[in-house]
Amino acid sequence: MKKWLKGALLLLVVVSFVLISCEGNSNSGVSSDKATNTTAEQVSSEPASSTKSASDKIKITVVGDGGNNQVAWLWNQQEMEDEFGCEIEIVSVPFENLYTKLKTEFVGNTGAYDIIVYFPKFMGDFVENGYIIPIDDYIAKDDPNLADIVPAFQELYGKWGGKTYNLPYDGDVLALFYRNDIFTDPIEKQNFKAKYGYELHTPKTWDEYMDIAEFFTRKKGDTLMGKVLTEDFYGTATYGQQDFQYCWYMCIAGSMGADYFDEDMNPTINSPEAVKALELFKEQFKYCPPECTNFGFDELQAIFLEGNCAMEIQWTDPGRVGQNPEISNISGKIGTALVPGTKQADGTIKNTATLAAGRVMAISSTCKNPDIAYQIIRYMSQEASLAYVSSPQSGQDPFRFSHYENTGAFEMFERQSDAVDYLNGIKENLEHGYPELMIPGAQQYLDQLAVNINDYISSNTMTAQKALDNTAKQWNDITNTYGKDNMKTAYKNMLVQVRSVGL
Amino acid sequence: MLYKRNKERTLTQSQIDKRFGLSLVLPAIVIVIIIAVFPLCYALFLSFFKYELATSIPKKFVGLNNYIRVFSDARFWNALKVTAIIVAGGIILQLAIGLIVALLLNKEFHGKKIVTAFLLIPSVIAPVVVGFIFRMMFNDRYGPINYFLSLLHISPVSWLSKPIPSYFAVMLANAWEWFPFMMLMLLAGLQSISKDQMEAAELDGCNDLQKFFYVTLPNLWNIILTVVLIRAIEDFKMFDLIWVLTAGGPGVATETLNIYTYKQGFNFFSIGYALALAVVQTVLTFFIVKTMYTRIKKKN
Repeated sequence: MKKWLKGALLLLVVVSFVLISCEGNSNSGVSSDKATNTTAEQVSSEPASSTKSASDKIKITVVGDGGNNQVAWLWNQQEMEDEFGCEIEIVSVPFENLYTKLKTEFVGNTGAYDIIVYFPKFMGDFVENGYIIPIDDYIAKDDPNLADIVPAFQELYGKWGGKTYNLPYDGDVLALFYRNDIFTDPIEKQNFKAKYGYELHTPKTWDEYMDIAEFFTRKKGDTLMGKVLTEDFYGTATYGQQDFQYCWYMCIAGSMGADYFDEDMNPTINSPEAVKALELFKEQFKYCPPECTNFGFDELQAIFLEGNCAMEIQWTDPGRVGQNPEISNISGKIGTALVPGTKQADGTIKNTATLAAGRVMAISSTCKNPDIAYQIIRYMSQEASLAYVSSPQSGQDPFRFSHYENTGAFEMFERQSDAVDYLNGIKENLEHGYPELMIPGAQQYLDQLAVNINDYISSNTMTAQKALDNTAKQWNDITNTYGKDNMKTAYKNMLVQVRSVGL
Repeated sequence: MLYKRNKERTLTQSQIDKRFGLSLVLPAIVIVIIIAVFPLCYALFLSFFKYELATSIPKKFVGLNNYIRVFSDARFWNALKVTAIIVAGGIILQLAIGLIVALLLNKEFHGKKIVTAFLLIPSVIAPVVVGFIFRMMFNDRYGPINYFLSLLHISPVSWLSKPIPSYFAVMLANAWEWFPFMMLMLLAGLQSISKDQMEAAELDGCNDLQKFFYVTLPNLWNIILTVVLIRAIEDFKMFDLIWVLTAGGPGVATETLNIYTYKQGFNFFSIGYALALAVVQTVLTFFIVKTMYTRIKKKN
């Protein structure tokens, strides 16, 4: 029997290898040719029967990260089902697993999703692999008022190599939030001027940012606006966790002229400007709460809304959420401004506000009803958008010029002037938006950058130069693994869009 | 002649029984072999390919390149070091706590059964949940651990954002979950130690410490080696707790081989390389376990 079992096992191993070999060179992903050649007409000609539900209605499956980032879909689901005569299924995936989930389904070619709501940094990967289709033909037939969309989202995060793939859903950007009561306090203004020799105002440059952060960092027992502090007060706070820390760093690095690569795909992330930016990024921790090295989104928002720091760079939420006195000690006292920048040789200031995360909608190349899918994303990006970007219950941020003009829709602000200040501040940051890396493999490139930045921040022995040299070396390895020519082409496609917005 | 024929018939009957038995379990065996052998073969096969799903380049046979890359990858060596530290440190911590608690529970006291049952609770909690619990416990600003330290006038510790504290955070969380297993096994061992040996040691004038080192510990040695082996295998596989607690950070301070392999496979979609890492890890685990097992066998 032993012999028999051994024989069976051996046979199975042989069969396994034969099966594997038969699988040969067939690529389980969708070929890139499909990505570039698929047109709206071609896709429309596909039969729709496979996605019809039992009730004979066409079913469109939408996937995105859940929670308050998906409530807008739930609010509009019924109306869109009625208007477009389809059934919409909404699938939630945890924020941190969205890429893995989407990629797995795409690689498996399962056709599980028709519409994907995703982070634009994966656009290069999804386009180059043919997972999503261009929507220019649909736009030509039914314009979602593209002229109304802020260029950062229309050009940078909407297009790849000149073709449009995405419509915006969430206009995330980093912005500077500050305590306008403290910044306008006469005693503080007077003391600041006496110490630094210039007027206290929202920081325009990183040098001013550091001065102001230093000035407002005070110990328990010191005074602030004439009152004795009962706990320590901090000049600033920043993002400390590894996942998105590089976005905060890129606000500084981008403004100093650092970039990801040169046009030949050689890393420039270890340039002298990038090193200087990283040193400055670390230096600011002196003026942050000691536990700031572990701050994620929630902690960073909380310290500001508790009223324990003078300013911070953060996603746009504190400006809106902070108006609710039930969860904020500083409602009505929050100002919004452009992130600081770096003075150029000609005296102008260059500002780069990282377009961190953000969400866009695209149509999967396996979608059998792209006409309807397009109508849905157009509706969500156009008609439905003002309601959800102005609601405190949704996690979405404005991305259309019309959003910024409709200040009355932002009812969480007690004073209209606060809403105007907030929306102008966000708009200004979007106008200076700086993209995340979007080429295929962005996840791996950015992970290496994030790891090395975090290593430098948490270590007493690592230098900024070493951290970024490591990053450059690892980026070269990744590029060589993926094929330098492929990556050069992909990066050029990204640069087409970057240049189109003047970056 | 007749005897021979009868014998043949008896043997044939026995074979028939065996074959009948085999036919009953055959479907299960085939399924197990398919789900175990096929993926293993496929993983081994793909580990010789450059298979980068982040790009559209086709799969390409690269021979041993992925394995060469593994051994020249600084992040792999770091992950190996981190794995060794977390496994070794974690086991020492689990063993120390487990042994102390087992010694305490070996004495008779009121409510012993309830206390024992209560102490087993951590082991029945899913590691993901333990990860979340400790992430809150170790929160620098709002976590109770730093709060209690502040009551003792100790400065807050950046548990999850500094390399050394983050090691301890992972080991402590893991030890909290698994010391009850050690405790239970060691308690069983303690209760099996003959009272005669203890009495003889007392008559020879041994104090408590001498009794522990010369009677208790030698008697527990085989159990200790066994539980260490079991926990080493389990801790080597540990993924969920670290993923939730630190995700391998800060930097790569707590990035174990499992975390790194997962990132390569499911974050970066470098399938060939991730599988080469997995194969290397499997071989390493096999040799470590084999060495420990041989030592236990020799000791026995």
